[in-house]
Amino acid sequence: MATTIPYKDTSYGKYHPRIDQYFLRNSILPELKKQGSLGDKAGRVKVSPDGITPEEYISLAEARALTLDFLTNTGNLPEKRQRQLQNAKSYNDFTNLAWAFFFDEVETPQSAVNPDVITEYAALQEKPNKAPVMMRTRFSADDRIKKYNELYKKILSYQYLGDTPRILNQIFPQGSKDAIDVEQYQLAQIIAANLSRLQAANNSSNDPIVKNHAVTAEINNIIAKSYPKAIGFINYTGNDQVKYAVRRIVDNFASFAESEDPDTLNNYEQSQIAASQAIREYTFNERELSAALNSTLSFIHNDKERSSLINNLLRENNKRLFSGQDLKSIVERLAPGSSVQILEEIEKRNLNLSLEQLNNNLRANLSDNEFVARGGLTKAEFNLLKNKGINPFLTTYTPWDKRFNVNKAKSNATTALLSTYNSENNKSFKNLEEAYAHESQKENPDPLFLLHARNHLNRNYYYGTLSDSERFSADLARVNRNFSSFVSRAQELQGKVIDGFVDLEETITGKKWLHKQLDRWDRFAEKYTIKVGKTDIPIFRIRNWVSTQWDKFKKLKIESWISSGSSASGGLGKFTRQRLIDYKLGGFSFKGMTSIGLHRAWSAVAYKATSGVIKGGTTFSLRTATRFFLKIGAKTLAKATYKLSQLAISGGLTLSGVLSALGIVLIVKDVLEIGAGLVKWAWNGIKDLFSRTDFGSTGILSALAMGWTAALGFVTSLLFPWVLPSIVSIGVFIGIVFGSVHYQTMMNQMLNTTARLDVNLSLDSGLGEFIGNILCDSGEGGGKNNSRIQTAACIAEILSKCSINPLTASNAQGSTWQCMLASTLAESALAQLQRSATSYSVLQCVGFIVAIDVANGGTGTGFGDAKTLLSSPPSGYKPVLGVGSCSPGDFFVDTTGTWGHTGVFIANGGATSQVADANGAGPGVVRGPGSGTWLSSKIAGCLKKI
Amino acid sequence: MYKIFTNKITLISLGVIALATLLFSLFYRPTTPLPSLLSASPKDRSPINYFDEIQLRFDRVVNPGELVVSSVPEETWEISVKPNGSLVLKSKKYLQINTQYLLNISYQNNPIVSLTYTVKPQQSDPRHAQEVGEEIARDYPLAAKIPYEAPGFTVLYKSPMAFEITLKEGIEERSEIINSVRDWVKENGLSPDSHTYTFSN
Repeated sequence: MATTIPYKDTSYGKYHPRIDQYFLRNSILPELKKQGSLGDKAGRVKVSPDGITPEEYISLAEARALTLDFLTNTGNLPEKRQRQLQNAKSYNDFTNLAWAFFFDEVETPQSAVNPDVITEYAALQEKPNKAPVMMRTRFSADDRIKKYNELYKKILSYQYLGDTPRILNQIFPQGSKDAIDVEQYQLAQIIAANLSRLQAANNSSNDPIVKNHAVTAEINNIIAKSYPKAIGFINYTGNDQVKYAVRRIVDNFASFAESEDPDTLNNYEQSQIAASQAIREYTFNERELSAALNSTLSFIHNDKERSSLINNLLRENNKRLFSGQDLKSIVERLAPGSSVQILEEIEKRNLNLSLEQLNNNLRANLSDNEFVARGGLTKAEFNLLKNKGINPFLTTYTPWDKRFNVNKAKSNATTALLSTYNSENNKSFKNLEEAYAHESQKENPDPLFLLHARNHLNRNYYYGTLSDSERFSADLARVNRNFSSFVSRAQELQGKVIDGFVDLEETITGKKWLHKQLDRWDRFAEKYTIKVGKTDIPIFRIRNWVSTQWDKFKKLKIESWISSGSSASGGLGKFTRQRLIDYKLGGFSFKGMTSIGLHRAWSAVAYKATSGVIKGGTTFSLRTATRFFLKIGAKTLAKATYKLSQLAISGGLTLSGVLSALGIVLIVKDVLEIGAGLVKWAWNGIKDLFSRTDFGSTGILSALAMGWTAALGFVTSLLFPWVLPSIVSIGVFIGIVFGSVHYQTMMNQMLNTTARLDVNLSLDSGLGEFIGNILCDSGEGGGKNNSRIQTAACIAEILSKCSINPLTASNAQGSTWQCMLASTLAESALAQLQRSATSYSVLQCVGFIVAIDVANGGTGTGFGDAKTLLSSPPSGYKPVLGVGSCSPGDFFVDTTGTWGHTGVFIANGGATSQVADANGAGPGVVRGPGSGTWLSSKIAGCLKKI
Repeated sequence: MYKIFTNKITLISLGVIALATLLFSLFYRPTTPLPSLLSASPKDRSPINYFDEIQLRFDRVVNPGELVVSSVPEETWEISVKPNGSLVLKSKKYLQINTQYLLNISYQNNPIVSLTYTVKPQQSDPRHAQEVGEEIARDYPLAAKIPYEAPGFTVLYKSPMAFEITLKEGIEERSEIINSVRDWVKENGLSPDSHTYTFSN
């Protein structure tokens, strides 16, 4: 038996003084499990988590202690569970418990089953199940956006975005069986698939410059064509006028959301469908793709086998909407023996892209607003698609657009089309295929005929690929749809009949006559006036008249006051005039005035946030936008924008470029919808705040309470001098109570989402978790309320979230660095981290503190090698000698060794001190508060901020 | 002819020749050419990082047990073999930064190649950091949790494996507190007897 060594002496332990999640999952726990089942006799645990480091062994006792330590401290294991682990009688028991607790406390909370998800899921389950059949509810854009956003947020909360089926299973554990809103399921499919494609696209090229260029160019194209209202987005993706462009986008979103114009969304989605259909004209449909596959896969000599494979491939391609499988796994399943060759041949001819496009097209059709508004898929159609992969748009669903003139797959219209063509062209083709081929070869073919014929041929071909039983099911589904349509039309007719009956009833009962008389009286009352001086007063509408006159008077007066106050130069004069202008803009009402005032305050805050964020941002425009959106509260949009920055397109006018463009249409749609929803949320929140009765009344009550108590106090004080202090105290108390409610409301509604400007954005709102990977949760910085400690914690946390701790030259650039760019760390700090890592191969301890310095408003200049920091302190710092002079947040300096060391001092622990540093525990390793230590005897002193 | 093989002298001579041949075959080892270096990564005379490994490819399979690596300045070099047959040299400690290293590699006590590398500069001293880390791990295993603040006392490291407990005002239950600290040490996966416990007040 090999001897055991202490963990810290192992190859892995040298670089990882404390065990991590990866090590526990991949090495300790599996090994413990193995040893435990051997009856605790093997007595050693192999340490080789990466499979590369040499085989080394630690004792069972140490493995157990390390596991307990990790679960207790990193996993925050509850005390009860700690005791259970400590009291485990055998290694076997211990290991079983440790595995369970590891998944409960460490792994799972970061993936899916956190309390919020459980709550949301429970809420979802409590809702009555809507039968997924023919939902004939009125289309509501607002509901749609809401539903979309809810799903989007839910999906974004999962860590494994690339795994569509897993996401769907988490959201809909029961699958589609009888318990799911079909539309919601379809939406989830679309969103999840979009996110999957984003991740896949991110890996499509290694050159970040090429990727960025292609992404930017394509996004611009898509937006210009399909969402003109967001044309400002184009400026934002370029290098110029970033600040202006970002504001334009936000304005666009805000106005778009404010208008709550369902048509805008409808039109947008229509343009998306149109784009999809337009692309389709240049790509293969099912029939053409089958033919192409047939010739491509000619090495499969058995015709029947080949045909069956192609048919199944197309079916499985449709089912990807539900299964989320990629082409490779589908082919491996269908043809395990020859999958490699099949995939090679398919990819050689780009047919994989055609398959992708067909899938996109199906997805786009399913998500089309009008289609959904008409009830979406029937249950039978849904089952056909989900279970057999049969495209319902080619078999059962009747397009509402009559251009195609195709009502069912085996239509007599095909014959009619052929005979029309023959007679118009004086030909005698016996089948449509020949006519189509003939027309295609003409120099100036008839595009309408080609379009119709192509669709006829495709639908007929597709219908021909169905088996007898499938045709029966498809026919049944079509009958079902037609019947439902009939029922729907009958219901419309019924509505009309009822309207007619109501009209008749009102006529018979005299209600109509009565309404007419009342209208006549209104007209009479308006006209019947008495003259008082020069003024006509409508005697029967005196109240309205007085109100109107008051309004006129008020407006005139306000206008004259505003005009007379135009030269006001004093603070009070300017303030009063501005309030009068607000009063005017707010419709001459107090409520309107406060609303306008807040709008202005909001703009000022947003401006401040913008100027703080965008001051240096030109080349990193996507990141800047992400940060900006974060600041205005559109956090999910920020996430989506970040995702956009990860997107890669192969570019150019190739088929893949076109297909990627289609993908972006869907993505941009997501972004716009979510952004619109969230900005609307923020906007409405503010409006609601100032239109709420309790807001106004809170302010008024507060003023009243103060005024009343003051007045009361004044009078009483004349009588009883001792009463005044008591009254004032009560008044102050009331004022504080009302004032704090008022203040808190404002803070909750507005400032919480805007206040943080440049560093360490810490979100404690529920939305924060959805963008957890680019946000810093270490707001408390290990319990020390010090901004430099917080920044150190944030750097360590975000590096870990981006999986680039240790930070080396290779991961401080390119795609891995994009994650950091999208984070909320200050741009200046990121630049310093990157500069240090790329200049010295790994992040330096000095680079780490420079990043912290600039993130906290320092200049970052004058930082030499670690050893020289006390003798030549950087600008803005003064040196103090001895560890006893160090305070939390100072930069400690070790001048021993050849070149010394530095980092952030956190706490004095006697012979050792807690620190946060870089390059102190391995090349480029960043240790945040709670994990870094240093010998106090080596700390020569500290740098204190002046 | 027969007589030749029955002649006593001839037979003795043949026996001596056979014995000599046998002995020669037992002790003679033909000289084999030394392995020659095909490539080194990083290349000879190039700058390297203080944590870099040096990978060597020879024209034949080399037994790492017969390879000796020495360097100026002196370091302990660990030799391992990669699956593709190349050898990997790694210094047991981080290399000294801003320093030129001359590596002499011998095989079967015959020098075969010398390589020169210069370690890139850094802004701190990783080797010193490594030594500090080792010392803390060895002598102060719970340093990351120190100072340990409890309601009635604070625990600091006074010296290697020695805690100093400072009681807060009005707290006197020393034996209970020591037990409590010992429990805490145990909770952190160490034997309570691994540390000593003294009070500062």
